[in-house]
Amino acid sequence: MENTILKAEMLSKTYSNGSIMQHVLKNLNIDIKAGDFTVIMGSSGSGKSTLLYALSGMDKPTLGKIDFKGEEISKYSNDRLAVFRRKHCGFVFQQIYLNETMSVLDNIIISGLLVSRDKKAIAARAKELLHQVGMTEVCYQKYPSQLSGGEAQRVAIVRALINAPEIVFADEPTGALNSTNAINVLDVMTEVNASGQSIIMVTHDIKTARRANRILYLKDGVIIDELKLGSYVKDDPKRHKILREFLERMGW
Amino acid sequence: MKILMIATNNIRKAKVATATLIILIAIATIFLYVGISVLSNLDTFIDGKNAETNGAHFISITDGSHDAAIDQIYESIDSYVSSEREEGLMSMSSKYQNVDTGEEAYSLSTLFLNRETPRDISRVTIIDEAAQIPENGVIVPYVLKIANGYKTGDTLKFMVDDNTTELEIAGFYEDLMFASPSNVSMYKLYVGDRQFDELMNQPVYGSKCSYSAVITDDIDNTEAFESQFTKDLKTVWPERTGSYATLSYGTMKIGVAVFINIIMAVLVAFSIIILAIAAIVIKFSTTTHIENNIKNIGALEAMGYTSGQILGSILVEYLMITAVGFAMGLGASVLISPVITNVVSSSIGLRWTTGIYPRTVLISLAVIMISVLGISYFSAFKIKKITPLAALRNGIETHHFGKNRAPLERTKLSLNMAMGYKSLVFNKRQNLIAGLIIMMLSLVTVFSFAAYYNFAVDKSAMIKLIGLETAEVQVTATENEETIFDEIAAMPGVEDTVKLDSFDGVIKYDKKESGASTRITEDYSRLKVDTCVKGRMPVNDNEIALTSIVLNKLGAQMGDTVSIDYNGTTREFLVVGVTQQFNMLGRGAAITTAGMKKLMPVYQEKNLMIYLVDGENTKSFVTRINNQYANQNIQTASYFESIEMMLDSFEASIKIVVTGCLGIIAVIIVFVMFLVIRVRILRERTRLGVSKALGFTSNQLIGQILISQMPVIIGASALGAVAGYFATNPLMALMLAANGILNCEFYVDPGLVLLTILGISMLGLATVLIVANSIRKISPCRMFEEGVD
Amino acid sequence: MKIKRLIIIFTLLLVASYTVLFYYINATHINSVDVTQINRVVKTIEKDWANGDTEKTGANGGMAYQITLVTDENYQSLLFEGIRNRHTIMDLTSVSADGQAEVLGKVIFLTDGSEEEMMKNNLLTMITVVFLMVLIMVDVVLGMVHFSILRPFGIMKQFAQKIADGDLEFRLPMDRGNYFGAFTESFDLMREELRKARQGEYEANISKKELVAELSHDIKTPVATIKAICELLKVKLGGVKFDAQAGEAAETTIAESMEKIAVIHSKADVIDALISNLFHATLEELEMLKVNVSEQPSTVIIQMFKEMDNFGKIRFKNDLAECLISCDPLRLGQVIDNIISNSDKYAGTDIDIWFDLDQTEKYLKVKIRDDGDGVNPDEWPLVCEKFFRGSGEAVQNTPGSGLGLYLARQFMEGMGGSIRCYNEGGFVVELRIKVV
Repeated sequence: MENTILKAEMLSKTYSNGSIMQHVLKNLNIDIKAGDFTVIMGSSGSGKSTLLYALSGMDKPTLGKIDFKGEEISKYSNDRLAVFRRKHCGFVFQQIYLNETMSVLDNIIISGLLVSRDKKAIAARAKELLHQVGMTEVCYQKYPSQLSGGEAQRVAIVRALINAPEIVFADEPTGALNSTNAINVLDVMTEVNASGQSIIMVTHDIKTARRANRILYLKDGVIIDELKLGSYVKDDPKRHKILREFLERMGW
Repeated sequence: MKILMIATNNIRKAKVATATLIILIAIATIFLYVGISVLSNLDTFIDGKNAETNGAHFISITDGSHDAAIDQIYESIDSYVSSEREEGLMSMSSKYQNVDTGEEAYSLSTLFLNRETPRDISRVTIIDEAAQIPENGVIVPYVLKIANGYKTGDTLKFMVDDNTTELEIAGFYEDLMFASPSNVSMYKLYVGDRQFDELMNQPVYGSKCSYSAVITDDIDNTEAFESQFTKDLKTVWPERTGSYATLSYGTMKIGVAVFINIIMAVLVAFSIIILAIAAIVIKFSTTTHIENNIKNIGALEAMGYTSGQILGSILVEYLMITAVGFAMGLGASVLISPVITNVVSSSIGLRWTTGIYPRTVLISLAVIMISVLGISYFSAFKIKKITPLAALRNGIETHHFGKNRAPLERTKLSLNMAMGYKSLVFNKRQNLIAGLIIMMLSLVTVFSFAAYYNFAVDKSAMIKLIGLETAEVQVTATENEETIFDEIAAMPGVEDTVKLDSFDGVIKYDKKESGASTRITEDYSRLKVDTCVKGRMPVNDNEIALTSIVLNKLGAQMGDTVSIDYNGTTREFLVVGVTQQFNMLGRGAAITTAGMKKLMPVYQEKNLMIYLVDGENTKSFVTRINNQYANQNIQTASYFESIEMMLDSFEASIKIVVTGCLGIIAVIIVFVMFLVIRVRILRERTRLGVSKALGFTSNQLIGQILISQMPVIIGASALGAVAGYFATNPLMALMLAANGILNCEFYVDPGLVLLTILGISMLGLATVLIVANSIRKISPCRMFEEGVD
Repeated sequence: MKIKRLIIIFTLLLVASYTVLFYYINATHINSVDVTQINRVVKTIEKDWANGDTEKTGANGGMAYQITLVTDENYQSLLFEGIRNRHTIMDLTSVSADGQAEVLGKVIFLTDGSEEEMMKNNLLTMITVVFLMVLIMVDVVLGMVHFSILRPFGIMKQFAQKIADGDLEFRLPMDRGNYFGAFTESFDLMREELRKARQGEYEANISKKELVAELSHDIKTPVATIKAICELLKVKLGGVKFDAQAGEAAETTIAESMEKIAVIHSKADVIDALISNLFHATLEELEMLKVNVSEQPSTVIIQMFKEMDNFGKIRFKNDLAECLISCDPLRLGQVIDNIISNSDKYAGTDIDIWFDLDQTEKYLKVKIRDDGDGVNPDEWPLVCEKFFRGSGEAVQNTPGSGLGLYLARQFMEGMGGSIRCYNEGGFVVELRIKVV
């Protein structure tokens, strides 16, 4: 428990539309340890994304509390949450959501500027990270619409990493990509995880899930089971088999 | 019915835009309806008023020496029907002061008539009649009640030089001929028998005159009667041996209505500006509606709706909005009708009644409907081109990016500044539209300010427009004029004197003719007010300058040769210049003294304009002259004061119009900014959400919107205000073009321009701040769910 | 539509070019000599002449002039030459003492005549441009006519073929803006009408079913009457005493009648059952004690207590753990209402509330305790039974039905929870609510 960085207790999220209430998350208890690569799976509408956003402090839970390193972020004001996010969280979205009006480099720098004022250092780090994810200098001044999906997602990952967050939240980062691009992006994510950052990722894709060391299976807002893959080596074929069996058991 | 359903649904979804449109349309309706109803009914109203009292069609006031000859002339004119003649008292240099309203004394000529004389023409119907008319009771024109606030029972001090008589107001009468001192600078007052005799017996108060009123068989052709009469009179009336004045109904009617016509034309013009803004709003909201709902439209089309039906639903939507807005506007204009009644009445000096005019309602409805539906049809027309598949695929958006402005890596701007700047550049189109609206409004604001300033605060430009000299005192002498004028010029306190005379001339050109108030002076460069707008003033004896109204009536141009007929002598003059003037209905001419001598070799100037040095008291100067030449036949008048008095009566009307315009401009700016920011926030909610997810706080995002919006507001208001600074005069000239005004020299205070920029910017800032506050409500992850599930 | 717009543009263009041409030609001053200027020059010359300056040629205000006097020998020839060259010629007059003007001669202004040439050239260019424009427009319009009128005819032909083949779903691929839009619309209308007819049929069916349902309901009443009469008859006939004469025959008749009545009764039963089956669904909905379990935030419990807390007696002893519980808020509210009003009725003391979340067993325990006398321990298991009322004095002296806690238990069980009552320094009711 000593290296738990994010902890949710009796987490519930309810959306109400007039008198109709929809409970998307129901009494969830989750621990995320530093360096975990956690994947949340589950069928469509099971509340995966909601869980991700609640954990990241993007949305406030209806009930329950969330602790980040001993601080109860579920009690924070919206603005304080924003400050929390810019320092400790990185986000990668399925739809990528790069700012269409800005160049690749600017897209990354605006995030960096939220934390530091040292433009040069940020730009340098951005370029270094872009290099790491395999983006060439040609791309720096391109606009998002001029990039392929995979390239754009890699830029988005760099944007997520620019402030060296403790946790990177990824919502189906490969959902909109073709398989080559997906593998590329996943490799980047795995590398990121290897360098010590925790990743929480929502996915539908078994190949993506295979990268994780922990799988949570969500059904109707409840974690019905959990699989620990951490004990198997990355390329062990057993890993895939166990995962497949696990998912079949879950009725995936 | 399906279409109706879609339409009501659209309205429900776009509440703000709907409200904006309804308000815009309501305001446009108020202006348009009021403007048109006054413009179109004024003529019949005045005719009706005149018919009620059997008002005179023509009036002549003479010294009584040629009464028999005049009657003969009347009867010799074909259209003559009947006439009445009575005695009156003419007081040229009288002054008034209403003791009860505490106003300052002012000079105005007076014509006293006996209230108890039986008359059939211009019968006196008394409004607010005193229960018992006192001995010194006086019936005064209605304009004094409505514009100057006089009440029955007030004491009116009537003064000539040092003699004073107190009269008590016993009621008001309406008579078009003497409706407003702005038209004829003279009061016609009715007093009782004894008071009348008392006044008549004191020669200091004025001279006896013969007042005759004529009814003709054609009320629309009274001007022809007048010119025939003047022409005939000249044959029996020797050279300037006495004085006479004539007034014709037609001339007076135009004169009375001219200012209210201008005000109403301004209202109509303003309503058209508002309609233009409504058009921009419609264009804007339909475009965003289509963009936001392109998927729904696609789905509807896929279900089998024709694009025509969808287009129809948009039209029905605007039809309903227009109907509501129009009804509201109509209701509001009924509500504000007391204000309108006041403005119109005080301007024309007759009791105006506001009613519902079905024809006007239909006309304004048609104008508004056609413009709104036309615009919405054209802006929604592109729906027809959308195929369902393309719509479902969310259209094919193509962005063309120029170079990266302000790359964050290098820019010196702060984070928020840079983000704001980027979105400013990115939202070019919206900003352009909002900017255009603000520019237009800012221009109108400056224009309104300038109009107010020049009509109400510093009237010198207005006086120039009217075409009168700014001389403080006017002296008319009929004998020894040269000596007297020389003496006056040498008096202390006199800065300058100019001999300036005028007569009613008839100008002819190519079988057409026009009357014109013809000014005569030796050297036009000595006049203080230059009315020349094209060419030059006459210098040589065969030259003449005419106003554009006279030129148009004659069909002549500069360089043509016109002729003046004076007592049987005809002389040709070359038109060398175009002048402008507002008085005498814009009909004016100018020739030199040498030119006049060609018409009448023995001509001598009999009228002197006296400019006093600053600080010299006009009243005491007039008294001094009157004392010095008490035994001479001269008349002295405070010239400038009476002009100022006449202008005062417009001040109230202008004030109402300007205040109204400013208020409406403020409302429109707030609404437009509201709309623009709302739409922007709606459209960019994903980007804003992502920004929040990345850790931007609400304040930072509001700051960015502010930075992206304020340059547009400030820039547009500055551009508009500066444009207003330069365009006010051309615009004013354009509006007054019907009165022969070609050129306007209104003073536009740079301070007002700055004030406009500042005011509009502050208003915009406040609105943007308030609307942008809704960013706080955006939760960073709501919008993602739409995409995921 | 396009063609309409084209024709409008075309017409506008024609009108515009005509207007431009018209005004251009109209505004061209053939004689654009500045009369004003000339008048001034002549007047100046006259003044100078009167002052004795008799220079015969000169220039003033940018205009060169030549003076020829009536007395000159070549007066006529100079004059005619001036006229031939279209020069501007003015009288030179002097005003004598008696005011009479006397013509001294002429002032001839030397102007050049290249203006007409320029005008001619300008006109030529203008007319050429306009004609070219018109030509292009005519070509474009003809092209458009081909595309928007002739081609649609072809499509119309295809459409007619489809209709002939009976394919009514085929939409005429044309928009309303086109001239053929009206046709498309009427075909669309045709299809619409067909669809409406089908819809009408469906609705008629529904209402027929409703009628049947109503009728069968009405049948129930007479069937019940029949059954009642049967039973009455059975009893009556069963009680008939037989005398000797009537004997067996009568007995047999009665026995037969009894049999028949039994048949009628059993058949009426069948009808009744059938009708009951018909109504099964609706009757079910009328069931009163139904518990509708849903997931609710635990905070609703606080809300319920607060609503019940009319005398400010309720004290929360600890914080409620936020979680999702499964309950029927309406029924749970009734349970709490019953418990609180019991406590008010029998004890009338303050009420303490504890919450306890059991994460392993997945239930939320709500302990409600008052400071009253409590219930006899023997009766603990019985308090939740139907119509049971405690033996305590307070209970006996207070009117009540003995249903409150019974219903509470029914509801709690219906929600998957439980209820337990015992004494612990006062009467305690312990609710266990299931956590999701």
